[in-house]
Amino acid sequence: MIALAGGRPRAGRALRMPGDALARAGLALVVVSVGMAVLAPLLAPFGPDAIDYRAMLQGPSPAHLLGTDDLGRDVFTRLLYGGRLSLGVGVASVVLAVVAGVPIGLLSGYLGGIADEILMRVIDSVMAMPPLVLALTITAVLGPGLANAMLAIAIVAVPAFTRLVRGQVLSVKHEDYVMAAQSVGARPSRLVLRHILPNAINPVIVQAALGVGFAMITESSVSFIGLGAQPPTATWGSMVQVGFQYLETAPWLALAPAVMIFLAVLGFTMLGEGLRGLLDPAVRARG
Amino acid sequence: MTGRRQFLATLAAAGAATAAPRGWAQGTPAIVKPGGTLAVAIFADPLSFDPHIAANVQGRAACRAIHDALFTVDRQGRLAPGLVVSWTQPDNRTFVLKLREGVQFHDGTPFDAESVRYNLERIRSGKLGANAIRAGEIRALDTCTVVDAATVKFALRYPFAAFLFPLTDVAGCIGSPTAFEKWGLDYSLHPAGTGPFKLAEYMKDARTVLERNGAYWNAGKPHLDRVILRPIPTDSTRLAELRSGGVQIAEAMPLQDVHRLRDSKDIVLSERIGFRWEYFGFNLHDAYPGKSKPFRQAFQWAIDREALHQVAYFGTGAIGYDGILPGSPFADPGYAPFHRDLDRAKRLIDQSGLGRVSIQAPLQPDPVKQRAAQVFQANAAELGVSIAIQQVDSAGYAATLSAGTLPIDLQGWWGYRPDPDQYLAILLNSIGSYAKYNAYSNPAMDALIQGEESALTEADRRKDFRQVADLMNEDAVYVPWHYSSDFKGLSPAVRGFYHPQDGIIAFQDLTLQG
Repeated sequence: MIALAGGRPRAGRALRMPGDALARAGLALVVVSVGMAVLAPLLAPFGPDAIDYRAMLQGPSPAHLLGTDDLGRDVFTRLLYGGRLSLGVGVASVVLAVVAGVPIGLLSGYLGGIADEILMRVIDSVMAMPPLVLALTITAVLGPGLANAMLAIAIVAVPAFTRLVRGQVLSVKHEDYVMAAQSVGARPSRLVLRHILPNAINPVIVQAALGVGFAMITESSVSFIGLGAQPPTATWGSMVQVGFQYLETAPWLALAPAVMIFLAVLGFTMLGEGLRGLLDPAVRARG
Repeated sequence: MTGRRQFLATLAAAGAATAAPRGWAQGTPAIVKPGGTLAVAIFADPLSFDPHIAANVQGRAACRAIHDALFTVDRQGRLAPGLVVSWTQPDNRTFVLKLREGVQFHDGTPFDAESVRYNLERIRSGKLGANAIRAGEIRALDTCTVVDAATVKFALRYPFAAFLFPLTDVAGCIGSPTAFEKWGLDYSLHPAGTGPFKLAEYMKDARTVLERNGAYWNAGKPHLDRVILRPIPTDSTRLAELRSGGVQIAEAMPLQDVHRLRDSKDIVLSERIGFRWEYFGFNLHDAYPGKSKPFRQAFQWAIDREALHQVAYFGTGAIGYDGILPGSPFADPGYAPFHRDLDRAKRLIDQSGLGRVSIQAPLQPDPVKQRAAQVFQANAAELGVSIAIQQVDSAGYAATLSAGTLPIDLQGWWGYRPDPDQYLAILLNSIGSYAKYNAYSNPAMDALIQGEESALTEADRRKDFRQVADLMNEDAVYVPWHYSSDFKGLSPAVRGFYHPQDGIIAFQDLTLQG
């Protein structure tokens, strides 16, 4: 089901998830997190923004499984709905980063020369800045809001994909099968898309899975300082921000979303690492 | 809880705490034990000890420990002697002040009428440049004349009954003219007032050490040798310091902990209501829905003040329907012209003819305001009005407000001032800065403000302020909803404590027991 590496010449590379416990456990965590988020309207007992001042800061109970927040809203409900945005932003920003980063990496690696130099120095300058600081700065400049936070995270994540793909392109572009295609007159676009990209994509998949975890943590950080989701919208990061004020009196408020961030990020990271084990020949050879 | 809160408020108001239970910190013991060092956890650095420059409440508090003000406010909220011992008002534009004699500044310069004139002229001289933040408070002053060494005469440009009230705070704090001349703007770090304490040491963001002025004119005071102000911005850390005995007083106790702290055995919680009042403000410029009066009025009936009171302030303070703070001689505790009536609110929205409305609401990330704004947002949604909260920093909020481009002000508030004119004129008089920001101008309101400013008796001003409140609510440019409280946590060892409405403690009255 992850057999995206079509065209790769080495035989016997069928990906079998059940064979890898790490990837399987990661996938399970991801599926549970995503499942909860997708099924939020069915699972949630209350509206995510329904205020009830008669039930403020209540502890976990049968009525409110994870208690209520400082506006009397059901924490479990907000956790489900918050997951939709936290996961959504995580995945969407990585997709954006892949869409932008992979073509740049392909171009840079394939063209080489001055184009490669210029593109790589730009990418280096972005990588030189601490990712979280850069994401916060970009969001602050664009203005607070989840869409801008997503864009900022994508921008910060682009260099990782660009560098990765460029490296892959450099390593495969002199392979025999590429040279062979070139010698029979394949156009550059065909060469890149049919022969180079498919053989450079596996690390991108691994990086994407790992990147979702990074993106979720960054979104949480951006929302934690108030630049991401705006009230009353819940994301796990904004829920931790609210809960942080009540660590002594109502620890569940920060704990519940923090645990969800931990589990989801752990899930994506394990999935990424597991995929690396399955997709990376070097790791496979060692393993 | 309510009973205890009322009890504490009564204690604070009456200052008669000696009969309170379990060694209540407000009590003054029969025998005062002098000496000792009091550490106070404050939430921000004082930044300046120049009373004409100090802006935040911590700076004002430190300045008032170092300087005496011309006037004080008594426990009924009325003007009382300070460096001025008595005063008369021959007509509604003239005040004659008799000054305290035999008082010296910390640098040995004698306090006299000339020093009063010097200080007031400094405030409005332009020497302070952009720091001249108190000039507006004495705008009505035409001339300050030295009659003799112990008498000054103020002549006002126009009748202004509230003129003397700002002189109870930093605008009325008198510093040594010799020190002002010597240090210029560096007076900020070398203050010389006549107050009970001298500045001994200042380390920004770490500590401010105030030492006893042994030559203080009020014999026997201060009792403490030293007061150390320690800026601790985090609520929980301030509280932890108080619990551990690192400080004996902590200001701005976290609201969410108030109910728990009331039951604490080792901390005494003091509440003083009327520290500030809160409102939602509308911008009346044509570009914003606030231009429609019925639209604004709808919110008087639509907002759930009880929910706001519970959610934003955890049930502390009180619901409020005007800008006259409890504790003011002009307050009317029975004034409650609104109750929640959604049908009426919806009719007003229909009347406005604005259709479906969506408003951008820039808001600082202050937790209280965030909670209040979300209740407002939910209430507005019931009227079909969509509010999009956008978190901005304080500079961004202030810039938008003063540019007149804040569509709706969800964090409107005004801190305690002893006379309501000190903020109502700014908010409501068409020449007031906030009225201008919000494009509010009503000749009838201007006439009412002018009326209370030129009235000579408290009774006349009370009537005027009632009419001001009524018209403010009718015009609904500001929708008032709350009076909040100031909370301080004290060690039971602190004695002689009185919780003033402006939250600024008179350290000279305090002692430490045990």
